Amino acid sequence: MSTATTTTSTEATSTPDRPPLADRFADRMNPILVKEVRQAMKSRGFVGTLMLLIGACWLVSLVGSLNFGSALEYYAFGPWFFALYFIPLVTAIGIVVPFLTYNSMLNERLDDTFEMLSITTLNARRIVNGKLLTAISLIVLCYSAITPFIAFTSLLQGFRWTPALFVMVIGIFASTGLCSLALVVSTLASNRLMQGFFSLILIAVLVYCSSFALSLFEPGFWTIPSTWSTFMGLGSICMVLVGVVYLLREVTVAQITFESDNRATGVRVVCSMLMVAVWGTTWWYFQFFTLPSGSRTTSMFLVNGLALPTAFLIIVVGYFSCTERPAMSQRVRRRVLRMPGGLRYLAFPWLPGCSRGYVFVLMHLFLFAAILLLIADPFGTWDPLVIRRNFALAATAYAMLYSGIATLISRLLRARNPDCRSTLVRATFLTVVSFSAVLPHLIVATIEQVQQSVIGYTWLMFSSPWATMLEISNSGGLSEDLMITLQVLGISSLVLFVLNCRGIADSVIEMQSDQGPGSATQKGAKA
Amino acid sequence: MNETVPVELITATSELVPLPAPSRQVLAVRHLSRYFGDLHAVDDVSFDAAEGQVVGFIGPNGAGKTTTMRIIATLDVPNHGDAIVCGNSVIDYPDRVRRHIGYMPDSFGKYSNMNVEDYLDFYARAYGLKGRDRQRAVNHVLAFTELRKLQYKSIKALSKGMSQRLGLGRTLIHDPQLLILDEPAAGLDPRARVELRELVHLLARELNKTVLISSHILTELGEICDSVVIIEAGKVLVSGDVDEIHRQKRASRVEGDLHEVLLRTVSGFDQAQHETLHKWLLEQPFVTACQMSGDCFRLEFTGNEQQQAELLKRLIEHEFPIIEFHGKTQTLEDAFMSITRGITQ
Ligand SMILES: Nc1ncnc2c1ncn2[C@@H]1O[C@H](COP(=O)(O)OP(=O)(O)OP(=O)(O)O)[C@@H](O)[C@H]1O
Ligand SMILES: [Mg+2]
Repeated sequence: MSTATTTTSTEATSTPDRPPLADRFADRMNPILVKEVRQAMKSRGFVGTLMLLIGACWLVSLVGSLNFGSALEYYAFGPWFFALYFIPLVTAIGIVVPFLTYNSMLNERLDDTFEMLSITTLNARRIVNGKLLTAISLIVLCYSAITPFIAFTSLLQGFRWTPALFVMVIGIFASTGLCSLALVVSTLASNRLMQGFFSLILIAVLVYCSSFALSLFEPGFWTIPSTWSTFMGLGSICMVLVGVVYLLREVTVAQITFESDNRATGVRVVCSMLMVAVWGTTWWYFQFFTLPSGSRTTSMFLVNGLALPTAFLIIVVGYFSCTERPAMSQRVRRRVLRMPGGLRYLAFPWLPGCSRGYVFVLMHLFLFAAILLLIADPFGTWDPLVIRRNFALAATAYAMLYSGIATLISRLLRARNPDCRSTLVRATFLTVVSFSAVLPHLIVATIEQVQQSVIGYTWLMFSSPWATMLEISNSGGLSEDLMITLQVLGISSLVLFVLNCRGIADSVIEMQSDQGPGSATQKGAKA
Repeated sequence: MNETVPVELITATSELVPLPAPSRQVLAVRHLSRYFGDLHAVDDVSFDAAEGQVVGFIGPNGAGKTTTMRIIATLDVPNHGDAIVCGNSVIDYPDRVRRHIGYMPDSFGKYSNMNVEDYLDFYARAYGLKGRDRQRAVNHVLAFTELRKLQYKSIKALSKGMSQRLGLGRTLIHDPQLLILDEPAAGLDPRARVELRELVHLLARELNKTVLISSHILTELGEICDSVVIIEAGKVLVSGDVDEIHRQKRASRVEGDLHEVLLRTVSGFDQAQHETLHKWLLEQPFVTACQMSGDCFRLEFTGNEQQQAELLKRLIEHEFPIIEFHGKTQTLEDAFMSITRGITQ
């Protein structure tokens, strides 16, 4: 800082000794937040929305009080007024704010301002944090704009604080979730044309999600009881949303991190943490609430609370991890080599590279199986219908199979062209998977046309998870064909594992010296 | 800050930032290579830059200038080789390198709803400057780039010249040691170019910054650069002192190389005498053509320096009234044209 500060010491005397409190406060905040809030206050988009929001609320109050006059005191108008105030708010926080967040991140990327930012002391994570914090500030601003109106509503008949709080709290979290989704979408568009396409999709999703707010008009809504379990429910919903925000934020960070840096570890660590949180919560729940063993509620609970989130995490993170470049970049490898001996091997599944990603997926699948066994014996008590067990078995087999295929494709394509882009690998993988899933259906449909007869499920349809899963839920038990399908799935996953062993071995060797297979590929590029 | 750093022992690790020493090395590029598939955008490039030096980075379109600069600015990673900025490898310690560099790309996006001061303030924050330090840095940059008058102007509304100034200002906000300017003069009018050149000169001479500057405006670089690196198709063709390159170029001239020699006689030398001289010149060895206009002769000469001197000696011996005799001095532009071969990739 030497020259810039010393040469202008004369100018400094004109500034007061201690900067104003607001400035000192702003100093501590994320620079992006400060910049974006300043920009938002000058942008027509946000200020206009805020004005419209307040205007709409005034209009509702004015028309309402003029129309109903003193009747307001006697009839249950509370819910109606609340809904009429809340819907403009939802439009603002569910559509406008996420879309502004999307736009600001997108422009940052497409205008190359992002690159300039990333060589300051701000890293990708702080940039994304700044964007998210800005979104939250705007949400809070919108909330504070309607606070007086809500206060007014609370005086009306029929208004109850529990449902109101319920929906308002969820609104904040859900809107933050939508903003983080918008951030992820903004990292997908690589040019202005794609941008139009993604904008449309995003708007559709935002409108769809915001339309849930219409359930406010359902009569049942205002009868939500003020009990312990309501707040437990609220708490769990918020926790899930926080988890989603966390994961999406990490995905955004990974997407905007330079390819030469470590994109993988953040997402994988957050994924592991979320899984542990999900498993832990379920386990805790089982300790404190003795659910009837083998009942339908228990198994539903296990499926919704344990299996679905885990499956979601594994699918999302596995898809990205297994399609990565096999080798670490030189920068990451050197950083890993600086880690103390044992630590780098412990960190193995979380380090970048498709083979390590594959190990990561397998590890979590097996851990999950172990947890299931620990919490409830899946082969006995927890599901009288056995459907869920077979579901879980098939799903695990498919997860193993697909992660294996993705890893193999990634390695094969990269062996031919080390600079092959991840998008190409992912597209190839998706094509292979969807083709193999559709093919049996096509064949069966053709045969049925020709023979004029209905063919049921056969094990030859194993490559279509859709058909297999449908068969499991229809048949309940394990038909002979399903047994064969499970065996075929198991064997092919094993074969893929064996095929990927080479890659895993390479990934271990890579971590031992600077001259690992990674540098070999780079030399290969020269040839 | 530099003044207050206590003298400490330097151990022989690349992690330590070396102590400021007179004209210490700021940038060392070592065997840098970057491939895009089969394309060798940068191929084994090496050069150095010391404190207070302006290094011109010259090459035709697609030579790999931007790619090299992006690697030094930690925006990209080389396939081979390394670049060391103030003792830190761009591969191993990008975060440390970023504190020492200011990078101005050939084009950069601008935020909407933001004025000049807010823009600089934002970047100062992004570099972690707080409170009074930040205000000082912003004021200093506003003063240095003479943007004070436009302080409250929206950055979208700035002219090209002014936004280049702002871009330069932004790279200076955290007082980096090494400035990397990618074609800063592109699209500027002559006056703005001269002003930019003066700013760069000031940065190097007064503030002792190292400036790596790429440009197509070769003649301009010749005046402000202490050394140049000429690059084509990813390879360094020549690097070193500007004068040194000229000297090398002249000395390396061999028989058969065509160049021009200009010759002038005293005015009042009559037409017949001119004809005689013209004829005589054409008979001399190594002269392949001779154009006459007034009392000026333009020779195409294929000999080396020694043979050129002998021609002059003979002219004098024949008592031709010569008042001027010189090989056309090479500009950087000529050097560039004769060094590069117009390879495109
Ligand atoms: N991301 C990339 N992917 C593929 N090829 C690239 C990429 N970036 C640069 N190149 C190629 O590398 C070569 C060098 O490009 P570079 O931009 O470094 O040249 P330059 O010297 O800056 O040219 P100019 O004077 O036109 O700016 C070009 O042939 C270019 O097409
Ligand atoms: Mg360029």
